[in-house]
Amino acid sequence: MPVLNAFSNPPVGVASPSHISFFTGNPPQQMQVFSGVAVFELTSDGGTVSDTVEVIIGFVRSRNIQFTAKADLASISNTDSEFLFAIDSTNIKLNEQTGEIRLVANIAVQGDESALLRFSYHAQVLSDVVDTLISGTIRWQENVATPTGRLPIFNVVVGTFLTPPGGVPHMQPVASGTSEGKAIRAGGFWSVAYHVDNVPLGTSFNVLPSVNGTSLSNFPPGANASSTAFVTARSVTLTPAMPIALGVDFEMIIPQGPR
Amino acid sequence: MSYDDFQYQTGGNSEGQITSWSSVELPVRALDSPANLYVRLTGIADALRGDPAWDPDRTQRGILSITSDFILDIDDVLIDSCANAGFARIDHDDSSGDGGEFGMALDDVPHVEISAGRCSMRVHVAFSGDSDIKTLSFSADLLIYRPSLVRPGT
Repeated sequence: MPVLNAFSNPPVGVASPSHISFFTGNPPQQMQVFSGVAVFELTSDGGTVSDTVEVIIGFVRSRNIQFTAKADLASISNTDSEFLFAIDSTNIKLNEQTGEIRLVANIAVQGDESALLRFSYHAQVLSDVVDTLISGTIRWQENVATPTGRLPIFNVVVGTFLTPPGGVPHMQPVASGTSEGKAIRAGGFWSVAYHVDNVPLGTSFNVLPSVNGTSLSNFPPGANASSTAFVTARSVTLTPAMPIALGVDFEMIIPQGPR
Repeated sequence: MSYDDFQYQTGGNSEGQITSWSSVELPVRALDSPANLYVRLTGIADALRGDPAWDPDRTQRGILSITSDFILDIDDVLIDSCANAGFARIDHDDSSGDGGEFGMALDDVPHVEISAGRCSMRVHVAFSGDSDIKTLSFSADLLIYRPSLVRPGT
């Protein structure tokens, strides 16, 4: 049986493949959920026929994973005979070199004639985080500004503030990132996610967002992108035991006072 | 492929059309979206109703829509989803003489949405011969942005 591929574009032998990814727990781990319908053809003209179907569903960066996997019969046919359709076992196979994840299902069919043509699958893969990063959400009230469509909306710098003798404090960056995608409007706010990768371990750093050029408009009268402030100022220290900081959230405001 | 032959709506875990209903919610974080909630729904839904008319020479294809009760917040935003469906109860009757050949399929799950606190999913189904998909098991994994869970600066 050929290997099916839900991860390729277009998918090969997989209908409606879908995938979500998120972080959960403390320290955070990455959970990936995969589902789809594997499309193949296993036929019998009398005796029981067994085979193995492998579906490439995605990739992980870590080699330390936990998983669940299930498959359900989704398409069968028979031409007026005794029959058997079976998904006898399911498993997840990790390629230690590439991080590729495959769902493996052992299936069987019997009849004169019978065909097993599809199964639907669902897999959850929980893996350790191997990158260092800081991530969060930046939100702002609808009356503060409106996205113009230019992306990214925000730049985010991670670093330390240095104050030269007699000078003004300035950020010495060690890593930078941007907001991801378009902002979502809900509950009276706009919200967008950001993350900064490759943040060094063991040092307390400040996280400082800023508006990216003309990505926002419709500021209140007298205000512009440089009038914005991000609360609350945050400092974050990553460690080998906690190499990822999630939920470092900000709200963009227009500070009150003379402009 | 056209799925115009029939359409069934299954609505409401409290109305008996969805049984073995269960759901869990988990606060989460994502890198590429402001998603802050994971919701997983599972159940067994009524599929084709009664004894569907069949034609020995034709495969019939249609749409089954499954809609949950009000289990989400009104202003939740669906960021992404995974959905899955499989046979739970199927039936084949060969007493009619010419209905011995049969086929049944859940072809794909092309659409998931949330609206006004309810989750809906659409399943493309097909059957041939005197066969019937009575119920199907389903699950939906939802990645959601819930504004009320955001607490900047904490």
